Amino acid sequence: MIRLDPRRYALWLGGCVVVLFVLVVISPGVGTASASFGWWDVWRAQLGMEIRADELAGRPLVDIDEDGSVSEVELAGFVESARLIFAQRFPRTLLAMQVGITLALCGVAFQILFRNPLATPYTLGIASGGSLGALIAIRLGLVAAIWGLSSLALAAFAGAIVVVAAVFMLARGSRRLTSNELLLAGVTMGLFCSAMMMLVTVVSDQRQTFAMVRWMMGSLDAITTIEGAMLLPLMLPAWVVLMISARALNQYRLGDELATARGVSVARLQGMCVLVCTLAVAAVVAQCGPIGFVGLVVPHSAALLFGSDCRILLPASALIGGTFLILCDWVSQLAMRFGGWATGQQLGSATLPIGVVTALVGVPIFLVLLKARWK
Amino acid sequence: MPPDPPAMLTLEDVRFGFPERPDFLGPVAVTVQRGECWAVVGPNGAGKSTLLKLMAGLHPPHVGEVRLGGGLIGKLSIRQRARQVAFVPQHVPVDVDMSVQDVVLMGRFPHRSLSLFESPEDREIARRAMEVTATSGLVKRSLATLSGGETQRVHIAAAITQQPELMLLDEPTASLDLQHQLAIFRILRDRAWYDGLAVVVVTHDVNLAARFCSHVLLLDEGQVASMGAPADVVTPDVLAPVYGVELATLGGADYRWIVPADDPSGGRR
Repeated sequence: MIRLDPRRYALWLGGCVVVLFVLVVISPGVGTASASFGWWDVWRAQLGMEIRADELAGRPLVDIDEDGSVSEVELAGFVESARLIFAQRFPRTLLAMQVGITLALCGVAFQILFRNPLATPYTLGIASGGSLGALIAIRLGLVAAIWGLSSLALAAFAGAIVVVAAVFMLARGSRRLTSNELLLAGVTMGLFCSAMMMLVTVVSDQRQTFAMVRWMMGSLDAITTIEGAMLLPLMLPAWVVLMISARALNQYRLGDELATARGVSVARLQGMCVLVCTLAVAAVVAQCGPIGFVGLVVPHSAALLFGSDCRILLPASALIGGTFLILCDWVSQLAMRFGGWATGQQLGSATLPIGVVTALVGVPIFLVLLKARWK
Repeated sequence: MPPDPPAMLTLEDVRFGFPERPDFLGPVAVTVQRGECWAVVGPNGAGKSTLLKLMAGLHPPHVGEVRLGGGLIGKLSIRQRARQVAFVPQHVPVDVDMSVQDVVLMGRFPHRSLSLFESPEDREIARRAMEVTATSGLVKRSLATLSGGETQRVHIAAAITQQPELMLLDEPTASLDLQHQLAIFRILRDRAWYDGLAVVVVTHDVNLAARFCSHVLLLDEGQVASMGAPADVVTPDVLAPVYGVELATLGGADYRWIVPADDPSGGRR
């Protein structure tokens, strides 16, 4: 039996918080050049704490003139590099955490709202719409930034919102979130977007096509702190609304009639949750591309461990989601280096696309959990 | 003499319909007092479930008024209403992986607005509700693993935990064995007798209704065919025309059972 002891849920959740915190703290030290730059060095350099030259003796890449001691110039160079590494890696870790939390929470929410265990944050067509928007932006060569937001991200966000709106228009007759019409409309719009994406790809040149393929694989690259922070106004409402709706979502599980009789305004709950989740997931897709599997695998894994009481399931999913995506990001950074070392060749890319990693790591984990439940 | 307190539930010439059948139900006028246990019986499609949802305030009546303790039910917020009326629907999703304890405690929802978790008083109320429904032994089980009878008792325990003044149940004994049918009707009767709840239960079993309920309401094609004490309603003369079958009475002075009196060969002569 894989289920945790309910009396220890608080302990386990606390453990998840600690793990996530530790991962965030040590993440600046993980990646290329970690032999020279430990996570504590990176933090000390970033926080302006004193680093003595003799601590650095023997580290590769530091003693450039190879005289066995670390000079003032080399120390200054080390501190400068450590700061750069922090600026490069820490916002990326925070972004991975934000994205993991958002996809996991919205995955839980959509599975409950649609009463469908196969629903994902992308069921309404957010990923396809966002991708189509991004591909069109790449084809048109939109590179300008508006208020610090890249036009690529804006186009992807707009595409996602337009497609979700279209899905709701198409399914308008049915009025019910759990109806097959809505899911079918989502699938149909997804197929339509795929066809349009192929069309856009065909009329693009090679360089653009490459950019499109890379975008579709998802990426946490090229992120500044401000870009991650800009996503928070779209993500936080989803986190807050879902958490305070946890008890209402529990009632919703037992059917519309029972929930209504217990005092849950079902239509308002559905509308509210779908709205905030759509905005949050569209923000994720706009910034990072369609990162798959997190929104499906994490909620199911969390439910297998913690049961399906939303008051526990939602925070557990959020913590596991954040942890999962940070770990996947580490794998994506280290895998290519390891692959290059193992095969003795220079591989084409410095990092493995995050979407590939979430699938490679997520699917086996999910299969193991699923098999454990069958036993 | 002091004036009588307002009845728990009053339906005044209530009519209701659907777009395809605008005159589906009504007019229905009925008054349910505290401590009464009402059974709503009638053929399939007679409007029993619809009447129950009107009583629960889940449908607003097209014509007429539904009053709860003297006030219009439509004027209450749905949370205020939920503090007074518990409703157990006929179909509740069964594949919910939550513990029985949590499902029963969910009945406290309308009473607690801000806190995320239940208080010791809530747990005490739930414990008593599980005691009277004989579900105490199931607390740790997952709802998804229960039998039909156990599931139904758990939902009734949750409804009792809601501490309503009016409890409405839609076919709680459907597809249950004899033992569980009796157990559930006993629970409902006892809540009406000892706790002074007003109970309305939709059922197909006229004999159980006659044995356990204080009042029976017979619906036929959306109209009240008869209502009153079981002895007056649950008789072959009243039921036979509504159900369209010949009926006979078995038993003696203590218990009378209504049974079909059709040709035992089923017409294969």
